Amino acid sequence: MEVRIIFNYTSEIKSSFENTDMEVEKIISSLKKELDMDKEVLFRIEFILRELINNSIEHGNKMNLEKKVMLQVEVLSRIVTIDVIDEGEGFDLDKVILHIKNKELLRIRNRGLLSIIGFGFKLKVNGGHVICVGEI
Amino acid sequence: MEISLQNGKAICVVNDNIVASNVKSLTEILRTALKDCDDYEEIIVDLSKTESIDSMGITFLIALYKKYNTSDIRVKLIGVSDAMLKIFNMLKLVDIFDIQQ
Repeated sequence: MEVRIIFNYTSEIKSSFENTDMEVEKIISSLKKELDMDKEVLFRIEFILRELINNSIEHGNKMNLEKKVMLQVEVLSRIVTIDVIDEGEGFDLDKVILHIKNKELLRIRNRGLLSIIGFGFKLKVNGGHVICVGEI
Repeated sequence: MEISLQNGKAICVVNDNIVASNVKSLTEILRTALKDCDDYEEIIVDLSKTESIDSMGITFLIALYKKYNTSDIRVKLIGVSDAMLKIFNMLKLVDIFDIQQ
């Protein structure tokens, strides 16, 4: 079975939420145009992208505009891989997920990573490098 | 965001995405608009023009609920897209909010 890279996008983002908006809009627009993905799939990918990039900006790079987030988005057949690298020390994913699962429904924060997992995507963390893979 | 008062309802039409870059300003607009009003029984947030939401946008909605939903005031979400409803279901927010599509 042939597996083709049908989409590949790399970028370097300075750490601000406004820059997240610009990058995500570019990526989603390209995915829509080049791969004709449906609305729901694009919504999920956009949510995941925003979550991963914003986490890197806020927690990894501490909102320091001089620090960068490296981003790669790749689509191979139906598999989407999102690589995000920040300049932070990283985090223990298992500890964070366990901590979140113990929290109340009306908690103010900590929904993003659970949402990504809920979408059926897998997360792997190695220092400031987060890899997110899922099938669309 | 456009906010109007009609028949005891505060109707908030969000004309934008609800994401990290704008939640602070949306929060302030809402707070300012509702601060001097005590004549409403329902806050209706119309999301029909909102294409994207992130986790901070969801935080905005939950904070709105926590602040304003009381025994005298209800918070309702309308115009919710299928994709957004799926994530609300996944996060069990449908157990909290009155949601209409």
